[in-house]
Amino acid sequence: MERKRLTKDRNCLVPLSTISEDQGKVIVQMEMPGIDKDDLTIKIEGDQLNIYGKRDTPEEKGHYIIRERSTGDFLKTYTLDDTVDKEKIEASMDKGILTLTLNLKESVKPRKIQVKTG
Amino acid sequence: MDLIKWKNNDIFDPLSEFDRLQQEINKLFDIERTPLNTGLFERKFSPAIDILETEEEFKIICDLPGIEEKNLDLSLAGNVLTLKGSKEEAKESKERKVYRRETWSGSFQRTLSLPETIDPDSIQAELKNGLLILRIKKREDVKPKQIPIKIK
Repeated sequence: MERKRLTKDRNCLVPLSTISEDQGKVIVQMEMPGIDKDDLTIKIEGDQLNIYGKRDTPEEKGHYIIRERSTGDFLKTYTLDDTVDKEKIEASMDKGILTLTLNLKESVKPRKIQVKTG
Repeated sequence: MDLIKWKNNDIFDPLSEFDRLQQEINKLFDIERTPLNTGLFERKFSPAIDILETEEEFKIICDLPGIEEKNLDLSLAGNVLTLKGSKEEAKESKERKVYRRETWSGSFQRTLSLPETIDPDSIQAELKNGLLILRIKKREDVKPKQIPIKIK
């Protein structure tokens, strides 16, 4: 529903992303060239994480000699599972790359158990 | 469920859908849409580029997410423009596990032959939000001129 409401008849692209886990954090990096931080909408609804970057492509004058870039908005939905702490999601936008940091819940973080000598 | 408009415009020609399909398949093999070469050495990655021509200037738009200014090298020799650069991978730690990798890192190079009509001194470059925009004006003597004709 969210998807439909946001995008209406707009062309949407799925941003290229790299997902990695490091020290109890899941880091999602998404390439969104041309998107400013004000163009981004990041929402959590239930267990759905919606990322939407609105990119307005102005009608260019003149004609294209080469046209390789695709136009449209960026849209991606992730389903979060129970291991992610939904209260602790950070997002930062830098040079067209959106970085989301999802903190894992304490209970699922790897733990070291000390063995006592008896 | 939404109602979707039936796209077949010509109700008397049901085969027109096949024509459209044929066009779409032909488009996949359209050589002009794909870049012929990406430079002397084939790099890992070749950024997508648009080149627009207007009466006044050429505008080159290039997707370069994550590229820092200091890692980008632009040069113009005659009418050959070379975009060169590298993207640094975020610092690796030993415990980092990568689940999915679609983004790239490393170096890239792209060489473009621009028309002879450019004015090399007028080039302007701007890098913003991972988007590189270059503007190169056309030489004065090749711009289309309008000569008003008076009718007596």
